[in-house]
Amino acid sequence: MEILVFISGIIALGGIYAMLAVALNVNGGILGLWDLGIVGYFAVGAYSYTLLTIEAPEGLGLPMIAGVIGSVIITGLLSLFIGYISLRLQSEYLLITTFAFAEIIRIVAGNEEWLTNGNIGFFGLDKPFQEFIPGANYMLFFSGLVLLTLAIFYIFAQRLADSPMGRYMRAIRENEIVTQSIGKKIYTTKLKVFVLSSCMVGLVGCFYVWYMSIIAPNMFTSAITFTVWTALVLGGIGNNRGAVIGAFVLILVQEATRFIPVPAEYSVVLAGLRQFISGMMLILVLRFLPQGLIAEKFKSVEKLFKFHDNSIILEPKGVGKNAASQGAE
Amino acid sequence: MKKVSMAAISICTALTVMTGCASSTGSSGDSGSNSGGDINVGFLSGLTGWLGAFTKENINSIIMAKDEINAAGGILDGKKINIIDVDTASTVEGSIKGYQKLVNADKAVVAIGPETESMLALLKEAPKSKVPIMSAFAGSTELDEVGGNYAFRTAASDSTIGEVRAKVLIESGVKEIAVMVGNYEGAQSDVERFRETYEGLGGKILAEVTFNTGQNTYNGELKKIADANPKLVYYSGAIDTAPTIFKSAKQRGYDWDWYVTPDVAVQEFIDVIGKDIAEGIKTIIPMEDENNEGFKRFNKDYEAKFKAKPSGGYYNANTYDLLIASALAMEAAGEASGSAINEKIREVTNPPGKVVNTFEEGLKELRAGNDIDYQGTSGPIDFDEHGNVLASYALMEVKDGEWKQNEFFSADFLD
Repeated sequence: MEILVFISGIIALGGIYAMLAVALNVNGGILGLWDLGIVGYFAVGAYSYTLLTIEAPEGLGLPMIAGVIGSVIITGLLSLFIGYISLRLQSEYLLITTFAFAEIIRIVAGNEEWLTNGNIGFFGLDKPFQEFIPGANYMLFFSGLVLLTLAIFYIFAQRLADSPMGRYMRAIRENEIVTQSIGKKIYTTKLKVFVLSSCMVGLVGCFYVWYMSIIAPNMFTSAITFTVWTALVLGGIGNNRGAVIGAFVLILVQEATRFIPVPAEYSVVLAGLRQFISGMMLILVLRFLPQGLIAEKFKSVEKLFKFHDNSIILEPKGVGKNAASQGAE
Repeated sequence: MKKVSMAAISICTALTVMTGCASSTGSSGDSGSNSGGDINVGFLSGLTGWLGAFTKENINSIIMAKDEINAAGGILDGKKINIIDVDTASTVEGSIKGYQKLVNADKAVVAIGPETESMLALLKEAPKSKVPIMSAFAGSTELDEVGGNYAFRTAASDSTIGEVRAKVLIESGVKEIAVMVGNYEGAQSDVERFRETYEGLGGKILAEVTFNTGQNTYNGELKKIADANPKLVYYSGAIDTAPTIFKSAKQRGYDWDWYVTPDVAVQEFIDVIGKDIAEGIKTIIPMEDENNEGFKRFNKDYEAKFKAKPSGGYYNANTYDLLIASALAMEAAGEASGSAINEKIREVTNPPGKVVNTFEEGLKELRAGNDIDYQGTSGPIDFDEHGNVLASYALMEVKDGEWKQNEFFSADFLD
């Protein structure tokens, strides 16, 4: 039983990262925005949820469900602002800007003591339905809740990817100028997807607060952004299933290395090696599977409209032909 | 097709690695462990990340305690202690994951080591899991009144260290200082009570400059301090920012006297900023009197075992004491479990009872059916209702590249 609780703990955390990876896949993978600010929206979601739900004087003491909805709305509004001023930037410029915003959010959280209680943050935060599930078994329930939400995230992202909007997003990723030339609104689409993805991340923020039971600015360092990106690259950029698998593989491998038997005397050396292993894994995947564990696949327009009978899967970007231009033929 | 098979191969490899690791769970832990009947004790701390500088020696200390217990024949009729270390990467997330592993996968009876934020994150979890969390260095004032049930610390609270520091400075005639404080919880908590007491005693803080970690230069911050023209500057920050700050202060010719936070009272601090610059820097740390027998013994044994001196005597003896006290508590309860430790730890460390100084003595007395009062190597370690201990303090100064005890203040210094 205990081992089950332990495994469910890892699944819960893996699920949280998988949700982040799916959300990131929507704007980073399918739309191709170079967004390094994911931890920022994550922090905003987590903080808004906490501040809405904890008792006065620090918070508003609203019920949990209101906190969740509120955190999604607040994250959405903030990302609308960030997106509005930064989405006209291309690739690496957007990357630096979003990264900077994430840092700003963390620094604000650390310094605005009247609002966030500074570097101390809040601790002993409540978890949903904790009064009904006693003791250590709570983790079993919580991992179930995470997996359920992850399934909803996945289905949603998958349907989005298969929709005309999904094709449109890929077209922007593959060739913005061509897409613009056929009369599509690039900026508005980017902004919409950016806000949508951030809202998803904001929602995951609530789960993170539940998992951690504490909130403090130093939980939201860029390490989270990099972990999620690593998971996405591992699994396969642009592929929702890849995003989920990448996140789980990454978390599982990191945890599995803890079971390597070492005498305590050498533990310091091994602890350093653990990070080396994740790095090595990423390098190996990039070398041998540049498209990740599962490469991006999408239904072709030809197939949908039965133009050809034999072409089911188009080659994604970087492999000879250009997927978007072929799709537009 | 090639891609699919490559994916399959890599997934298989990953799975093999994982199952290979998982299947060896049974033997995880210590090299010299005996089979069956062992009691797993968790060491849950940041072996990597910003805590890394301390934990190297903390691990040694806990190994020393373990060896001592096992050499004395173990507890509860020959059960041996087994240390399982879990790296938290100095993050709260890592601590939660690690704690779950210790509780559920390793069946550890206690988790020794978390820092302040991880202690706070696990406060509610620990009574549910019935595995106490114990910290040797979580000094935050936030923990002053929330522990006591499955949460203990042998670290002195920042609030009392702050008071002692303020009083010592005022008594030595320093009425005006400047403060440099790192922008993180530990450093701010450290300064908070100090500021209060210092100003309460008539001292004046000329300037308080908050700095962020990871900057390339701190010349701006140093300039602000210099503008206030202080004689003495108090540095409350981590070790990673110390080289830049202390070296640039020296280069720019600021000849302030420095007091530093206990957090950097380790040999590494002197090594990274350089012997010459470190010379004369002072700090007040919670520490047992160097002349205390237990502390002397600890230092001697440590040096003999690891061929190196324990740094500053600060967190090491505290870590060591946590394991010894836990072992004695389990022996007293007659049961190897977290709840046994939680229930009995006060009984074996607090008065009344026969005063004992080592694990062996304590074991003998307990077996004879006597109540004991364990005197730790880091102090008398008497836990109050919130799981805190009272500490004694020492004024340390860097002399010839080493921290040396200058003056000693007993626990009643503040009264």
